[in-house]
Amino acid sequence: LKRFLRENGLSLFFALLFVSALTAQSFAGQQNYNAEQGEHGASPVSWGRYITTPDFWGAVMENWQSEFLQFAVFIAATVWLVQKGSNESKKLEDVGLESEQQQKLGRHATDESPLWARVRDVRRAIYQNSLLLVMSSIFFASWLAQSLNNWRTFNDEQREHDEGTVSWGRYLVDPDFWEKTLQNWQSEFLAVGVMVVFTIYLRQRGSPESKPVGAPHDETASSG
Amino acid sequence: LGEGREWKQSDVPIVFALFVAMIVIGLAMGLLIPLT
Repeated sequence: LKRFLRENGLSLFFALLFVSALTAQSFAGQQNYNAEQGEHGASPVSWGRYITTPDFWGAVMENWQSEFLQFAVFIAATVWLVQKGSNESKKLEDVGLESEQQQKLGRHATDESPLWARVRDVRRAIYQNSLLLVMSSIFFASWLAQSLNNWRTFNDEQREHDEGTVSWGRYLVDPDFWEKTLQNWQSEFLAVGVMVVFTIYLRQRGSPESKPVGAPHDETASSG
Repeated sequence: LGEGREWKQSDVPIVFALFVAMIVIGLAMGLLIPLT
């Protein structure tokens, strides 16, 4: 068990952070939800009831979609675009999909290579894009989920104010949906851009997210 | 791997399955709640 924890510490640490933050969000969200319920003369809901509301899942999905969009865009963009001096970029001469040798494909695959990297059929086409495919699928699924939850919440509020409800299709072009979407996107794109640029000059000793402390500023992709 | 120890095949699938499960449960809830 000790060895298991040591070898998987990074992923287990983030799983624990995720579950803790989500749980804390649900309690804070319930308090906030009940405060608004009180303002409208409605009775408060239990925690168990709150975590089945579109209010809670809209807030969760809204943040999920932007995170997975960020990673999907970053994975795709770093194939074709580079940044001189950045640890988040690959070397300038490696722009593009790279050779079969660099990617250990086909006859360059080893016995330890994944089976789908050794074959030459459609499995390889899928496998060589599997990270991007899965991350973008999670993005689209969570963005769809965000739209459905926000739409339900939007219509609930419309009813509370004795105003007409809208269809899901109509909600997709409503400023409410786009404000909730874009407020998350902007912060993700800024943070990624900052990581790309700041790793040119700034360092964190010991982190693979940083170049080695003594690496020159114009050295690209010297770690990770 | 690194320290010359054997890669224990069962180690990675556990954390991989943990994250896949969290994503699948989250997306399922996120999609089903507003439709019910």
